[in-house]
Amino acid sequence: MDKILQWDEPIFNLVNRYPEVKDIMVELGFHDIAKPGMLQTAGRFMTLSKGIALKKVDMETVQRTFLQHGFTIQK
Amino acid sequence: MSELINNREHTAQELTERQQTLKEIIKELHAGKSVDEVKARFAVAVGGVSVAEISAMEHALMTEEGIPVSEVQRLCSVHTSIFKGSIEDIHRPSGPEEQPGHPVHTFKLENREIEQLVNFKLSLHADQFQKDDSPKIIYKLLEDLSLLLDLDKHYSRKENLVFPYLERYGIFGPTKVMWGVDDSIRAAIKEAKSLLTEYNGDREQIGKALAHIMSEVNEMIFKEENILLPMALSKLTEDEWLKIARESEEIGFCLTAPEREWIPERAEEPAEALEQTEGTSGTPQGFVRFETGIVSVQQLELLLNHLPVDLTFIDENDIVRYFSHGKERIFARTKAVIGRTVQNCHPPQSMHVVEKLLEDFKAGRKDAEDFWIPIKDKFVYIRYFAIRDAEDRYLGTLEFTQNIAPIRALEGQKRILSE
Repeated sequence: MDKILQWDEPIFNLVNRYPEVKDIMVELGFHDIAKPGMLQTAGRFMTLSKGIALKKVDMETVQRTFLQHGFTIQK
Repeated sequence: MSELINNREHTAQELTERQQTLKEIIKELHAGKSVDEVKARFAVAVGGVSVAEISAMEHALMTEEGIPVSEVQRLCSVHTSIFKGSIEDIHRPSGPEEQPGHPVHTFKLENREIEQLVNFKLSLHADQFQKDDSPKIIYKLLEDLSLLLDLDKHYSRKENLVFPYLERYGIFGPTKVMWGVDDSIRAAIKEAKSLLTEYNGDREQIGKALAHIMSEVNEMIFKEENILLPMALSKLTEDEWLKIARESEEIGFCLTAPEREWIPERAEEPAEALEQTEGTSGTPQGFVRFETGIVSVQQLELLLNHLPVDLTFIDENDIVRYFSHGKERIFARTKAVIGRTVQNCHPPQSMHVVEKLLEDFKAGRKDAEDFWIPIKDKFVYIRYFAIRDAEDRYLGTLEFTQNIAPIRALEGQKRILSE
């Protein structure tokens, strides 16, 4: 079964559901997420869509990378 | 969850219906009806309308209906005359943070100014510079960057007023990281200024430096408004925001200033109670008996504030306990730092110096350390003293800061009173 992530869900929730999301995010260049305390605080406000806007990462790249790890991103 | 989704659909539908009506009204106006004729219909059809809806509607008119931009603009003056009253009557700020004077409102206000400066002026001048690196354009860029350095105040308020409260709620990581980025932005602006002052013909280098500043500043605005401020809003109490608002002036504002003081809507404003607990008016009564005399608490406080030096005292646990509040502090201190560890009151880049010094004091390797730094027209002499009791136990550190430029400038002698 596919693992589903929402674009507008806080990263904190996503990582709680699927801990491996954290490593995938780091791999994509979201390094701040690995810093202590970040996930529990800023992570509650940060979403995938905001992260993409902030880091100017290509949305397709994010989608593809997650897909490779067995995740589907839903609007 | 399902009722939530239904709700959203419901409002979405209502929104499009309203937009439809608004669109029809605009078209009627366009067809030549007078403002008065449509006004009544507008009032009935539209219960509440927000600015966002108006702009959504204008956008729809242009894209879906194919009405040219110029037409919509021509209609602007007409429809604002109708909508004006309604928008202002109905579009009440939904939260206190949207009221002028609230620290969040002020931060966002400043961000709009910063955006203007960076994305319009600076970016325009940066483009011009690539085509023409004449002194005229260089001068314009230097002017923009000097203005942009004003965001130091915006960042300082964030670091010295908002961060301490977040730390009280256990939020450390993001604030430290952000402080580090703030510092690198400040440094990048200064660096670009010096590159331009000593311009050596390397256009690409300047272009890169400016592009870096523009993207970093914009990124910071995004982080503040999407993460930091919502996070702070979810944690801090109204009283805490009020304290932040009141202490903001000590540091100053960036490119703009709040139009008025924020007074939260609530029954009895416990301003006095607030002052009593933190302000000077709350100074406890009574006297302090020293080995060499007795003074009242009020006298003691005034005495310390009249010393021509800035004092800050941290206790043996590195917690800021006191600072004197003279007329001109050299480094801004706000009441929010009291009770905060000193490690959280210094920029990360100078942290290791402070830590090494405290370590030496605690270990008894040193009793004092002096620094001197020229800052603009001041010559700042900063002295640190380890405070020890009779048994030589370390009880804290006193920071003693003084502008000694006037003292260094003394010459000869003066033995008569000034006029």
